[in-house]
Amino acid sequence: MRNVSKLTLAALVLAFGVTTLQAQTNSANITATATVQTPINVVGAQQLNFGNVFPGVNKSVAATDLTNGGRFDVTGQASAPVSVSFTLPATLASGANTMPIDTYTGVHADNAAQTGGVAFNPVSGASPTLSASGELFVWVGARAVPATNQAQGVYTASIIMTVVY
Amino acid sequence: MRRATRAFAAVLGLALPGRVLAQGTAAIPAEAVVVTVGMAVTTLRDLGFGSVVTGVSTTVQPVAAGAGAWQVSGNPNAFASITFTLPTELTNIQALPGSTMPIAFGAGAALWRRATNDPAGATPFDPATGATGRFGPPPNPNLYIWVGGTVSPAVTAKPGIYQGTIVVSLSYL
Repeated sequence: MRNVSKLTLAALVLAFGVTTLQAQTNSANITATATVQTPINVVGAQQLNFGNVFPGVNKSVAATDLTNGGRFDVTGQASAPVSVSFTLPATLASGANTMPIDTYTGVHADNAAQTGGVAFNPVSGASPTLSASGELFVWVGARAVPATNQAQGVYTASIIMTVVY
Repeated sequence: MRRATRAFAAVLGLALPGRVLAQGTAAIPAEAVVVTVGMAVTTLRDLGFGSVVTGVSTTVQPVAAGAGAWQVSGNPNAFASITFTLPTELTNIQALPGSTMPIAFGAGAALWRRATNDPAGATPFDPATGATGRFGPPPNPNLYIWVGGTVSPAVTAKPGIYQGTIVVSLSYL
């Protein structure tokens, strides 16, 4: 029994010795690289405001309308390309009453004055690039289509924009 | 199996924050006010300067008890443009023609407020350029307007009652 134990111990020492020898002679390095990007932050900066609408009279707000167009402000990694997509309502609602909203338009620019803005279709989204300072501004316009018997009220809905790298 | 689960959870723990950081979402409301109701303008009070002294300007602030005031009833929550036709002088209705008194309106001489008939806390605006106001929500779809001004009677102004007309006009936008 004692001989067996010694034999086992010897074998273990031998095994560890070989392993140690192999670890010393077979080594290599790899580089692990990760690029940390600035988180994307999206803010709903301004609502899409149709103001008054009258029964039977359609009303459009252009995406180029800096006062009434809906606006999102995006910040993130400087000069990074992003993908912009929307969840667009088909109707505005006031209680149980609804009113169609359609003909969405969009403009994106790297400044709040919309200088050099690029038109796009919000239905299909856009693939702009954040500015050198990591900014992007997106405007949305649309058309409200009140029926001739549209009931009085304040009609609202949410427009959702998602931005991903 | 337990180790594998732990390892997977660790990987998820690292990966999920990265996904959150790579995406941003926000919502904005789209809003429209359907207008079906007309307007009615009621004068609540004339702009009164009271007794004034020759050679001394007198100002009535729009929050003062002597300010002119209107109540406009209309479509709940609707937007309306507010404009004025302002006189530049008042005329002595008790003296011979040509006896007048200058009247002026400063940049903050007018106020508007939704629903509440109290000028304290109302929105100031220049009556010369007008403003966009908004009617109150149900059950009080009113818009209140106040106007003040300054009269400057000349040293030689004749005694008497001087009057002019201030016209306020509103229209749905």
